[in-house]
Amino acid sequence: MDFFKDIISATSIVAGLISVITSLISLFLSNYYKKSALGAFEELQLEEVLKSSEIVPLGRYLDTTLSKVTVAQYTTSAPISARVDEYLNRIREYVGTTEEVQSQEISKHAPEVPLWTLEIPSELQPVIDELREGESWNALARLRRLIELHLREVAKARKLHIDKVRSAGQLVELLEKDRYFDSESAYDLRYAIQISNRAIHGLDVTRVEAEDAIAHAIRALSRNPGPFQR
Amino acid sequence: MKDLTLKELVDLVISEVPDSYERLEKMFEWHFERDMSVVKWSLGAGASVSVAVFATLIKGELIMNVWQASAVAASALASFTYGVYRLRQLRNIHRQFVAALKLHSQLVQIRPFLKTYRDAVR
Repeated sequence: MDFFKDIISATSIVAGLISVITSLISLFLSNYYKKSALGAFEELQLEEVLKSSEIVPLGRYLDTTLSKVTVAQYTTSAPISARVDEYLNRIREYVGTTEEVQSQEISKHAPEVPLWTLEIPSELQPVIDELREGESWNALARLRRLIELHLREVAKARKLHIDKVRSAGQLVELLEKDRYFDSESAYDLRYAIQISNRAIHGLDVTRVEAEDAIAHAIRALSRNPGPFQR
Repeated sequence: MKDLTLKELVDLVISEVPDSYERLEKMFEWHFERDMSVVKWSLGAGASVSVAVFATLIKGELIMNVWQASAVAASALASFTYGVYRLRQLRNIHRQFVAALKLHSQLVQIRPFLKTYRDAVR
């Protein structure tokens, strides 16, 4: 009978110890994984990835950072939720939402501009090369970035306020109002940007549309002096 | 739900599962039920042992020695504490569910991009 009581006591003690140890391990691991998740955000540079204009690094960045974050961490750790929200917003801003992209009107009457008839500025040669290699996402992402950089330089030179301007489309609108572009050039650039936005968002863009977008951009930028004219 | 990662939410979005919001709700229901079972077992075990020891103590029929009684009481307390700890964690589940829905809807907005990326790396 004493032996039986000892067994019961020992079993109770072991069960109690297991409860305590499990709770402590759970607390320790929770803190460890939170630090690990934050570490993933600190190591990688979102800005560099966005500047690269390449889909694989951007997507891989998303995979690498998000894969370490759990929904539980998102709700219990303010730094983690702030980082996740910030990065998701930046990426959504970069690729656009389906609603935004589909609401942009792309004129179906835009005359096709044969790319082979135009002189390609050297800055756009990588875009052409990527398109020829079948990397249409990279090509159009790079095209949009180059257009945006070009327009930002022009806007700064004209001393326009562009702090709150977030997109290439908004820059075109601003410069059109400032009479830097005529309506035809503005139209060409909008067309190029809209096609690029569709591709970056992941919607289907044919090779012909991609070439047409590049051609429209070259035609618009060749009419207006700027960095591409150097 | 500790184990649901954002990557799994991305996978859910890309797979275009119909009624994905309902699927998420069901996942959280399962998790809640499982955790509540663990809570009930822990609290129940702790309470049962405590009541048993206390009842025999009052009746004066406790025939364990001091260290045995202390050890049993301590383990009952530990089991009870673990149950309360898990219950406390569970109160956060509604916040996790809302967060999962919010993140899911944000990811749905960039679904074509996510699919294009997965196709590019395949």
